Amino acid sequence: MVKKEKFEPLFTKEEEQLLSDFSRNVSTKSSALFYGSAFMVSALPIWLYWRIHMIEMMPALVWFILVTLGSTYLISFAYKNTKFILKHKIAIKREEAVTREITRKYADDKKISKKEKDEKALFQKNDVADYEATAFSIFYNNALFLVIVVLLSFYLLKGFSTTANYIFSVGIASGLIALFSTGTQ
Amino acid sequence: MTPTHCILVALSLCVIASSAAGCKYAVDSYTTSDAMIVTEAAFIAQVNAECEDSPSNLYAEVEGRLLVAANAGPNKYQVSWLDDFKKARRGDYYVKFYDEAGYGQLRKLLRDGESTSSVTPVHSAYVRYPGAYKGVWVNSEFLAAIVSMVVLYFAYTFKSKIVS
Repeated sequence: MVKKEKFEPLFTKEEEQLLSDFSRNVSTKSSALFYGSAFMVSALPIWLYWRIHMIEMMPALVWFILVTLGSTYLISFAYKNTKFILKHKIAIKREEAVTREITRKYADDKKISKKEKDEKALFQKNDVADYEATAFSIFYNNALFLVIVVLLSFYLLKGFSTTANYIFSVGIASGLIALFSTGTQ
Repeated sequence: MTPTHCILVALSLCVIASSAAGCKYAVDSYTTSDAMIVTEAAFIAQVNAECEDSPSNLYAEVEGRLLVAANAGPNKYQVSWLDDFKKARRGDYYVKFYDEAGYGQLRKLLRDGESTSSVTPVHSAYVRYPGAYKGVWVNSEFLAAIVSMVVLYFAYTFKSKIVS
């Protein structure tokens, strides 16, 4: 006779939440958002080089595709790292406000125990921190990327041919923001 | 010279004077508007004369400068001059047109250093120069760099506050 083994969850909800907090992995939705945003920002310099630097599209098409794909990967890498760093800091700053809001919301509800309120506050805090960190990470890295591209393409690499200018400007910009995102602060 | 000859000469001069005085002149002007690809501003005054016997040559005087009008067609004359963009002032240039006789008197008075106000031009007009385009005050790439750096400054400041 075969005994049915009962599998119990290894972690509680709070422990799972903590594990996901300290993990660099992002959800599928966040990942899609990051890659989509990174692709749009990486493709933006193509318009700049086409209309302003007057680059010839057909000869440079292969470079456009390769550099855009590489830049997309590096920028999304920067997004994830920056989000990870910011999320905890934002969570600490928002904890008090979220706890106050949850307490006020469920103050008159006697059915919910204190433990459940704390759990709700924890999840709410993490949701807020996740959303805010995602949005700010995208904003910050986009701003940094565009500044570097403008400075490199119009000033530092001005003497290069347009194709070389494009490759090095976008490549160096995306590489730098990926590098800066690996810092601890 | 017999009195008859004198009378005939006087009559012909009167005819010339009256025909020149009877001319109606219309002036169209053009000035350079773009200083990016040229080094000097050009001023052109095109004169259309409506009369039976238009002067064979027309002359102009503008701000002390004597010019000979070129024949640009039947009863059409063109006066033009150049000036450096830095020296050319914005505003109206008063141009006086003279026929042969008037021009001769004008030159004589100028040579003698006398006032030319006694010489009456056959026509006068204003050529307006509003100025020429010399390029943008601020390059677009400079403006783009400044704006993007301002945005980055705010983003970095906010991030520093969060991280601290």
